[in-house]
Amino acid sequence: MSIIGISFYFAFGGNLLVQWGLMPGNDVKGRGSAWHALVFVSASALASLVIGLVYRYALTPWGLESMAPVVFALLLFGAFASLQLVRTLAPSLHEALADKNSFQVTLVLYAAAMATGERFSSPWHLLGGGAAAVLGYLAAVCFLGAIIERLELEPVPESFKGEPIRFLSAGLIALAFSGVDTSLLTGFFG
Amino acid sequence: MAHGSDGGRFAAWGMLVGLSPLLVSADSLRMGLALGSIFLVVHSATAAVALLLPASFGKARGFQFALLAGAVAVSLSASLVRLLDPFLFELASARLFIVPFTIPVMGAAALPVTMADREVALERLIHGVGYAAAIIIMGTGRELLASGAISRGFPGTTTALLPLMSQPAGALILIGLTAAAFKSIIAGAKGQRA
Repeated sequence: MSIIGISFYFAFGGNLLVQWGLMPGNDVKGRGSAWHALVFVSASALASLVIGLVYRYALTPWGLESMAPVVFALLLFGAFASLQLVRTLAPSLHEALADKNSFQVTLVLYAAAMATGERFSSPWHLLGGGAAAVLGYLAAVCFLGAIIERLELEPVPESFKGEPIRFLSAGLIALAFSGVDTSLLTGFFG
Repeated sequence: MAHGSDGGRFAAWGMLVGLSPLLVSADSLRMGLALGSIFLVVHSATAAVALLLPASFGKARGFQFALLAGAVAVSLSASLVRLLDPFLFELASARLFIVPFTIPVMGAAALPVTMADREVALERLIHGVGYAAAIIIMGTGRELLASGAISRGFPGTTTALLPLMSQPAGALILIGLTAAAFKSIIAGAKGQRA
């Protein structure tokens, strides 16, 4: 699959929000800064590359695929230690990198790495796939945030307000997105 | 983690969002059982390690240690699934591996420092059973709605009732409708009490 095909796949049929059910937190409106988005996309591309290569070339040949979560946890702690170092060296940069939804960010990074790693083996595909997966996720979160904002102006029944309407909206987005699947895109982009 | 009645309610909704990757993945009884039981093992291992570690360990290091215990637990559980049912492992390994990084498990990895924290951590350990049951019920319910029957072995039933329910879109819609139903039941019960 070409990089364009991968991008379209992760934007629609394989979107992390709709395929993996990775719902954004309550306070996330999907309107984060461009700097956050750039850091998130770069982190995902890097995580997908590292996890994908470790999974394909270190774990699979030895039959140790089950160890993937342990490897990811260790990489996560490595990234945390690097952030601690950044905090010591440049406190202002650490403020910019800090994210109160870090649990959700970790989950999305791992899902992006797994979704990419199980499909591709070339380093460029892993890098591009990781970046496209998070870009697609951020786009879907923005889309969902806009729908929720619009719904706040509508007379939604009391029992549907809050999380129920978020899940229903995400379900309808998933229904629309899943129409654009891999076979259609492969036909167009090869 | 929020406390109090309102805080507890918001925390519960937060956990529903955190649990949604597993609820969306549980599309049959078989998958629900695999995900639910592995979730219970990983959640219990993570929460138990967090509870057993001394406070002097430090919050950050304690969290890392408990999360690593969860990752090891999921690796061992996935290896067991691979031995028992290699096809299920191939089908669901990516979804199984995500379990230690879900919000309920990461929440359980927080090291309790005060006595109040320890009580909350013990409660969380018990909540894990409820979350696991919710995953299994979701898997069973979705298979029943999608096919009109429950299969006991692969490749599942051949009948179709509401095939949308086996898709992620159907899962999200079902979670939304169930949450709305619970909300109205709770509101009704509160109204009756008042």
